[in-house]
Amino acid sequence: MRFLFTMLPGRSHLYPMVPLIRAVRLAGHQVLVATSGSVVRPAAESGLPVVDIAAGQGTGERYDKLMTDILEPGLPDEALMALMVDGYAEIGDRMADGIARVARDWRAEAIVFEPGLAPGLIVARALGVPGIVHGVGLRHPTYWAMTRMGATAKRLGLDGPPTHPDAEVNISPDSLEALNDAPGEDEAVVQVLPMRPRPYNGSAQLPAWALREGRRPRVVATMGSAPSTSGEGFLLTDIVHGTAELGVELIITAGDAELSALPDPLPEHVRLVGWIPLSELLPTCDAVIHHGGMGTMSTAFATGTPQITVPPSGGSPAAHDVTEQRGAGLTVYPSDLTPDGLATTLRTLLSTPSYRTASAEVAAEMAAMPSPTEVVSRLTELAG
Amino acid sequence: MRYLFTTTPGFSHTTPMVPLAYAAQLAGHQVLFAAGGPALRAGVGAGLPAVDVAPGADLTQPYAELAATAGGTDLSVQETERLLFSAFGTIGELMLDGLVETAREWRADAVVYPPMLPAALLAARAAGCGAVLHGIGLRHPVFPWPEERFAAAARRYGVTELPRHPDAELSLGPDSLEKINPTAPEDDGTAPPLVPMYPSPYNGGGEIPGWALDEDRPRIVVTMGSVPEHSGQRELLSTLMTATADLEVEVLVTSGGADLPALLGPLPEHVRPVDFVPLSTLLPTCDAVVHHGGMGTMFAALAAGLPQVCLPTTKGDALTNSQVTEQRGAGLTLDPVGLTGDEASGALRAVLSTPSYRKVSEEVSAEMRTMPSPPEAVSHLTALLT
Repeated sequence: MRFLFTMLPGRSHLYPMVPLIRAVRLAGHQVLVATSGSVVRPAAESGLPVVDIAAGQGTGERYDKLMTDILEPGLPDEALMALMVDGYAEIGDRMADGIARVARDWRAEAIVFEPGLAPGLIVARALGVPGIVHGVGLRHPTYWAMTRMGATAKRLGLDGPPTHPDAEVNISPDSLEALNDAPGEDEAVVQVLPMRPRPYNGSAQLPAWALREGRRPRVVATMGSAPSTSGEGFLLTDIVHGTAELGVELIITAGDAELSALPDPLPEHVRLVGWIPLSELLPTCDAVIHHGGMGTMSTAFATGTPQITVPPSGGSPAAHDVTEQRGAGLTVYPSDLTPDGLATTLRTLLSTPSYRTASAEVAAEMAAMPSPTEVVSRLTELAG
Repeated sequence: MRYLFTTTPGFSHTTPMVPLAYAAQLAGHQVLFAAGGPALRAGVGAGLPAVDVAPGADLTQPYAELAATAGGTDLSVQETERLLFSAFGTIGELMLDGLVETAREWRADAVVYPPMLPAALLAARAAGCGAVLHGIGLRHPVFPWPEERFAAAARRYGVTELPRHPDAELSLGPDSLEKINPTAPEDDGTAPPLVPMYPSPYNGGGEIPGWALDEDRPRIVVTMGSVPEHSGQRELLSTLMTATADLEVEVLVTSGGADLPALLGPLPEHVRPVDFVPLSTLLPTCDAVVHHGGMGTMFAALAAGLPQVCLPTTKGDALTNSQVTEQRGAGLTLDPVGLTGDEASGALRAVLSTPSYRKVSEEVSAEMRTMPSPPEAVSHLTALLT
């Protein structure tokens, strides 16, 4: 069978889908990734065949603008949601025709899309093939933007925007979902397939020191894969100072962000690295401090690592609440972040075993979910 | 389990191992890919966590020297083999210390390695972990390593008896090919258990240009593989371009890193140079493959059920692969030395118009699909190792 995977032009939309893409391929099926903008290269660098279906249409720039806009401090929830819906609808509309063209040319037999990219389902309906939504973290209402895509749906030959996909691949474990206010797909209408998340955070060469634990407790600080959340590094600077007296080693993974605010030279306890996949680094670490992105949170849980979330305005609203309520971590709002405050919070996190225990419980829960290989069998039955 | 994958610096010695690595990760095991040179880039490019196992060493040099000495000369097959074993022995020596250290530091439970890298078996034993031989095409005995070099290295690590066998051998070759494979190792009764696995074609990720999905006339691929020393064969490629002019086909020529327009001058209308496109995505849109006899290309063509014309430009496994392909009936083999346009167009016409070549290749493709999947192979291996 031929499975077309499509996602918004952001790494955090691609990476959670990579395990299923690989599993589909290992089962002897064909895969093709249809996306655009700045995620084309990361897809190719993840070993995937990828088509840029909206070259020159500014989808990547529009996505990056959205990621910056939602960081505006003090943005009310409704305004945040409006920004997301506008952005996703606009990007989706620019990508829809390209997805349809590739799906037809390549004779796709199933389309797997993530909740942010409503045209994935529109194209599936237009071609009469199964449309499968693939979660990227905690479940949330699928395709916020669908209500705005009536014109796109008509252009592709439908009467109006479709409502439900044929199946939902859910990578979020039950004990986290019990704390998540946002609903997923209606299980009465849509087949929900739980799947074990296998954190994938991009590829990179690992330095030798990252192969095992350090001599001191190791803490990772990351603001995620989008440079916008790192800003110039003011939050990271507070984290650098806050960890100075704790006897820990601090690893900052900064990606491409230019962190001009960081002290130069960096204190002795800090290692600044570009990109080390967290899935490989966290098993050697004692705690992670992050921005509340779904990918980072999921990786922290999967590796049983306690967390401190510093959610910038516009981050995934539920991630830090769910983490804290599950007992696997603590939240520090950026406006409250001080070096001393962070030191106290981190000391608590490292010295109270319950945070690690709770995180390890979620890791065990994830490990018990059906493997991507099992989910592929279910999907082929559905599509066959 | 913690599976440490390693291979020679070659891209084509890396990609066949990627499916097992993915399957191990998906089954919840830890995977680390330890290599150097182009293989390290290929491992990172596959999205696998990778480490440089020989920082500062130029692992490609022994192979480049080999290609310079052995390519296009009148050396016998035996002499070529001797040079081949020696080059890969040198590569193994350059990697050995790094492999042992990585296996120990990372606390590997098993080392997975290809037949060209016997040093990895010693590294596995020195680090006290399991060893899995991973075939990268048709089965082939592990490359011998000059005994005296091996013994000295073993002593350094306190290994008193040289290890002969791994704990398991993973085999990608479908039975109907292995039955006629002259390099298949003989079973002397001491060989480790054989774990068969579907050779799921993986040839690297990459951007697929729009035209690749849109076929408007029959298409053939010409590829001389991924090693630049082998790809830039001006005379051979020119002959093939001329020979295909009247076949009413589109010819895709993969460059393998060579600068084709600089090498060949202006290209005719029916020829499209392709810098890098994952073969496994491209082949289903094609009708035949002309290749150098490399294992990766041969297996990708068979998995796609395509007829082949083999031009074994080297004297290693390329000869065996071409011979097996022809004997199985999935293609024809021509001597690339002194190849004429008539020979080339005759062979291509034959494989395109005689249904049996495609039919046999499709049979092999179907046979491959009955082999255990990579996830099944991981379960099998893990059971053998624990």
